Amino acid sequence: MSADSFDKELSGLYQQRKDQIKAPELVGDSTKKMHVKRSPWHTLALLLTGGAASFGIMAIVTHFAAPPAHNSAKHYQPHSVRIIELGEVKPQAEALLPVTPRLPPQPESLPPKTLGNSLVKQEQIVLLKAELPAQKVFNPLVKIPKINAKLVAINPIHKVMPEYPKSALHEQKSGTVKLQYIISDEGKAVDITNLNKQVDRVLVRSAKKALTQWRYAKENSSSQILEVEFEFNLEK
Amino acid sequence: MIKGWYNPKSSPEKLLASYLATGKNKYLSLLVAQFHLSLYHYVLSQSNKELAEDIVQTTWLKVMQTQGRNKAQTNVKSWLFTIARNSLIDEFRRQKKWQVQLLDENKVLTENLEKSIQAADRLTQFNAALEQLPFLQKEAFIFQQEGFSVLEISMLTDDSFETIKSRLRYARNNLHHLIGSQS
Repeated sequence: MSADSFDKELSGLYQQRKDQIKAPELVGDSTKKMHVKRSPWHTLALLLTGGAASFGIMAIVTHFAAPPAHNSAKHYQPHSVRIIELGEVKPQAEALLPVTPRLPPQPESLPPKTLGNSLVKQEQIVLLKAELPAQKVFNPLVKIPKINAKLVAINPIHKVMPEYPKSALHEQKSGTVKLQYIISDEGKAVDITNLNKQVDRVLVRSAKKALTQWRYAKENSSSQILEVEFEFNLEK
Repeated sequence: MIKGWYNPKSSPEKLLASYLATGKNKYLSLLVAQFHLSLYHYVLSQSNKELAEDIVQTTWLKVMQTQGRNKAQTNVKSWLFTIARNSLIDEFRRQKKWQVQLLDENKVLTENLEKSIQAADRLTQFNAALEQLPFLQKEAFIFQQEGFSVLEISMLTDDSFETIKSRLRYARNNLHHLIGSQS
């Protein structure tokens, strides 16, 4: 039997001997209770730490998500967006509607007193009463503009108001955006062009974005040029 | 640090430091849970049941009294064993037993126990053999089994390194002689 195995046996026997011994309970020894579970304060501290950590993470996330407000009062400035004008653009020709000029009343043709002028005859004078040649040309061309009920009734099925851009609010930009567009076959507003070049581009972008979301009934699609005006208004 | 929060059985040095700093019984209870049985076993092996209970109780009382002195302990386990050992020796001195205990150091046990406890199992043999060992040999053997190194035992008992080494050899030889080989 080697020395090593005897040492192992000794330590084994020692452990057995030790395990057999029951140590007396100390007075007021709360050891057992301590081992069963953590104290409620421990649990509470862990929960609080977790809560604080998640709060911190959320605070950082929201901090980077929203642009910092240097002057928060500006964000709460009353503002409004409204549509001023909504309708079709009348073609240029119709806009310049020829108005039949009123002719001055025909002068009473008086027989010239100078009867002595034998060269001018009464019949010739009467012939000159005819209407002005311009009138003759225009009259067949003039069309009374039809009040087209269908055109008046073009209203979008779905209308979206543009948002007031925050950067514009911040820089206190306001103005009126005038947009021209036509209705596509699908009932969408397409070929949007900006007419008012003076207004801030941010506002134009917001207005265009809203306008692209407008929807018309499909039967309304035509090459008719429509026009809409958005007023971005900052109330002072 | 954080691992320590989740692990209630942190190192005894930290537990003692926390106990001394805060004076909360929680830390002392954890210390007691770790070392109570070892201390009690050591003292019981060297004395009887009543005395062992007294000594262990005294040991923990002394630990509680050190609060406030606030001196850092590098090895709590050997510190605890030192306290227990000193208490035990004090008690022996009071009972005038100490000199008797010392007399038979390095005694070589000659009588073979095997015959008397032939029928008993190995553990009973071992217990009887350990009872036969003289005080210092038994002590050195127990300390060794508790995991102390020779150097630690020599510091614990205030003896030289070589003394402990030879004492351990004596103890082992005696045990070997007493209970013999397994076969």
